[in-house]
Amino acid sequence: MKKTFALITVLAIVACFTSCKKKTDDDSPASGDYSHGVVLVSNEGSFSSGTGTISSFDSQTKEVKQNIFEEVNHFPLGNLVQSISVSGDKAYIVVNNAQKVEIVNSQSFASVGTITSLEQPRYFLGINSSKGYITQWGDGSRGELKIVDLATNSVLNTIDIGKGSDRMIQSGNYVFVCNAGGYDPLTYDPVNDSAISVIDVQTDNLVDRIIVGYNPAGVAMDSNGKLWVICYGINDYNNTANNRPGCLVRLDPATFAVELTLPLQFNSIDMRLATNGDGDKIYYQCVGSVYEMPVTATVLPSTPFIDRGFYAFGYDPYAHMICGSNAGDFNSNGYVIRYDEAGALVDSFMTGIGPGNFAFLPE
Amino acid sequence: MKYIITLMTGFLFLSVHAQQSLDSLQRLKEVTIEAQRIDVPVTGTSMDTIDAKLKSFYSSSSVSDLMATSGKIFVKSYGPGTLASLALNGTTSTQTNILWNGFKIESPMVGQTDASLLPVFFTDEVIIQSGGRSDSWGSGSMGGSILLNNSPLFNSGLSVMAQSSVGSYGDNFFSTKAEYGTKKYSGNIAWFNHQSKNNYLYKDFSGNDVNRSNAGFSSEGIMSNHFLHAGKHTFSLHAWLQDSDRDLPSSVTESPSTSSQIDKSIRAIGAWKYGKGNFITEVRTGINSEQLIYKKYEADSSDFFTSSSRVESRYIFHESQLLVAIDYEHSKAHEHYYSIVPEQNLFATTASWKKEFRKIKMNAAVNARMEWIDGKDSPLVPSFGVEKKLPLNLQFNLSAARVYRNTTFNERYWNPGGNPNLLPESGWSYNTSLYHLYQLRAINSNASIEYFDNRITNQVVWMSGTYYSPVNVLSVHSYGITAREKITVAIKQLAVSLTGTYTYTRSVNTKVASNQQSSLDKQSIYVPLHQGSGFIFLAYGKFMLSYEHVFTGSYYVQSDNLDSLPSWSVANAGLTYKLPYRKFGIELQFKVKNIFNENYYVINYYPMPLRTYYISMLLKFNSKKSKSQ
Repeated sequence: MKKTFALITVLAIVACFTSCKKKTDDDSPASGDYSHGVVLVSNEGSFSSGTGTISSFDSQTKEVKQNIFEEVNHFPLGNLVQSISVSGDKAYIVVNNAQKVEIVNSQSFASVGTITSLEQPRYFLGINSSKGYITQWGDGSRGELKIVDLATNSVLNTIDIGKGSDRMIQSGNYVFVCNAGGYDPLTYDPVNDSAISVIDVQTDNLVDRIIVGYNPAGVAMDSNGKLWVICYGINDYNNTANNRPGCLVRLDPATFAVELTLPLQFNSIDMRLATNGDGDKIYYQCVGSVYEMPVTATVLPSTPFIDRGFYAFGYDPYAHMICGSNAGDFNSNGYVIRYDEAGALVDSFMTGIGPGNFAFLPE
Repeated sequence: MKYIITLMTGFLFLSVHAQQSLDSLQRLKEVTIEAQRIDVPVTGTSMDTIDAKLKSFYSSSSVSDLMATSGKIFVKSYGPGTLASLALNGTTSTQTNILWNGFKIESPMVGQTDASLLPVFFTDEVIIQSGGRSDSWGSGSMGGSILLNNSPLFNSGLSVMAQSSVGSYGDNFFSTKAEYGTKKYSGNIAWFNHQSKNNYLYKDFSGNDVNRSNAGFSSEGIMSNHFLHAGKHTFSLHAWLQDSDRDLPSSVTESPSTSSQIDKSIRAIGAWKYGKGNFITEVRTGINSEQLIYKKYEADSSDFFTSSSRVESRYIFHESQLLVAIDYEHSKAHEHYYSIVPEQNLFATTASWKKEFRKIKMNAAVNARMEWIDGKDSPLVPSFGVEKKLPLNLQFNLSAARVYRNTTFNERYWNPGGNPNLLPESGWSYNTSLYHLYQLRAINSNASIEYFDNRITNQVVWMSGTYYSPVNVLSVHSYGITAREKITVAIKQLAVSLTGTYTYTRSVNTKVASNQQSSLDKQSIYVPLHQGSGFIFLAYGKFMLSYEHVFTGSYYVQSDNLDSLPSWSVANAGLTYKLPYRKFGIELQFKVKNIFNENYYVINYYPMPLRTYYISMLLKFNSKKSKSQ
């Protein structure tokens, strides 16, 4: 009996002394310059019970810093971090379940403001020094574009532009927004999604909707000034007769005309798209493989360039590297793998949980 | 609520011929079949019945709140009134079954039960059965099971009780129960209503006290249990209907939530047992149905219906028992995000031999179960259990069983990502324990130490890829010890009871996905290495004082063990005053939860409440002055 008591007592004491908070990240200090020569990675964080984070990777020194927003500002970014975008001397971090965009000084990463009054925001695009656009999914039935005054960080106007407003790119006086279907990325709603919405940046009006293919998900510009769009396709589990493969589309941003449509073999929500630094090649991901294609090609490549898939995918135009992320089980830190333009693996670095988006900054 | 009352009236009418069926539930010994009984379906495992005094302090709480005091089960709770799942011995909540009167009440969609929706008030007995026994309970019992039982009170006459409790942050609980017991019949009907604004205080990132938003809930339920003993026949009928409507608070890293959820459940069990000579035949059937309506922008409804039946025959001879049983279970679910309307037909056969070796004071049992799901057979699941009395008031238990878990509808059919080709999780569960009973005059001591060891392969984990999709990639070895000591002292009007439990759990990923090597050899998430609890009950005359202290050590929240939550310890206390008057009785109770204002999180970024207070009054009447209440 005495021994049982003694055992319990000893174990209880051991328990008390081994219960301190363990923070085993061996991060470098958060101070530094994040405005030059780094890859910023936005990490979504655990789905229901986490906070997103930002990792930085110095291409020269290979130094990695984790969770730099919270380290500098002493509060978590929020759940979930969807994307990061740098405009001028600020970085805009879109936190979708927290319905906000956190703004930091891109050099120090110190918080300088927050844009609120948002509903499931997705991406930020700086139009000029005084205006930015934010796409958002809203309640899922529609998609919206928020016009933001960057002087006051307040929403000036909201326009309906189609379901699942998502990634966007600017070409001249127009912004081209993917309507990727939002919460229903693999269905087909010809009235609301499966189009590229065109916004005139001078009037902030929707001027056209270009039908490109089923559920456009990624957009990039090549050296000829043409826009490339990749589409998820349709995957109707309830009726496979409705299934349609994704496609790769080239369109002219001046005339809004679709010039080329290349049907892909499959439908999938892992479609990703990027152009290289010179803009003469595009890289796209389809069903677990990455393909490379010259922008002059009119047929799709038959063999993968990198025979694996990534959660996020981007091209670093300054280091001339292809970056792909691995999110694993979304309950552990992910990592980014870098490849050179020949497709050879160069190195990798650790990120936070769910690395989902990149911002590449020049030296 | 109207349909609940209509249904209950039906059950009451039917229940005139009802009585107890499950052997392990009977409180009385005089039933004829009881004398023949040597069957305990989980021989050799460690069974811990929750202390009745502790349970009475949680009579207006959920099973998840009660289990959080166990010092053994990890209750993954998003906060009071919000989703809570139970995990035992380093396994996951889908690998830990919750059974109501012997029937699993999990959802086939998610493979677990929300224990925050299970009122302690609707249970007569709560048992932690430690040690995986898929041969007895079927899929999911990999680390052990939580048994919620209702039992008869024969010869108790008429008793009626009503309890009202008022607590911090708009918490109102009201319950009432009428019970009637004759020599051959015992039946009851019970109803509760629980409402709470639940806007409790917590500390935000700056250390300011903030009220939790969108966390209110209301729930209402009715249960009726009937037991009838008629010669060689025994009947039992259990019915449980419950509605809850709760707001779903968000993590503090999200914007305040506006979503809510309605859960409606119907559960019923009917059983008949017939014993003649050395034969006992038993037929049991039950239904478990739930509808869940999630509301954010617009209502999204999902539901499931499971019916299960078992026919069991036992032959008892020469201190041995042979058992054969056939189980059939049908499940069907509707969910907007499923690719199909899944249906599942499960057949199982069980054979068991149990022998009581009286001369050497030992029981031994060998079981085997085979399952077919939609025609596909699963591996044979054997088990072996032994219980041996030793000198010096010691008893040794040992259980070894093959265990498995069938995959859930969500894992197979979620669109997109569901993986219809998943294999069942499978493995072996070993459990051994040593008990020591000791009595010295007015002092009783009950000590035990248990070692558990589970080796599970093909464990499902959701991985990123083309879709976020479940795959059978994980192998996990979980093992540890639980030590318990309970001492009671009774001297004249003074009764003291001291209970301490400590659990050490290692749960290690021994095999991981090729792109998840950072989690290899790491501790599973939400499995604390150290857990413990202690209770003191001090009764003097009409007063009873209670103090509980629950400690949970730090645990990891990332599978690569790069982030963890800090340890927390919570103390609760209560004072009860009991005033009997002839056939009536009054109990007044005052409780304080989280006395020391611990600011803690069970799940990252979901704060738990600071200190809260409750007062309650219980009135009861018994035509025979029942001692049981």
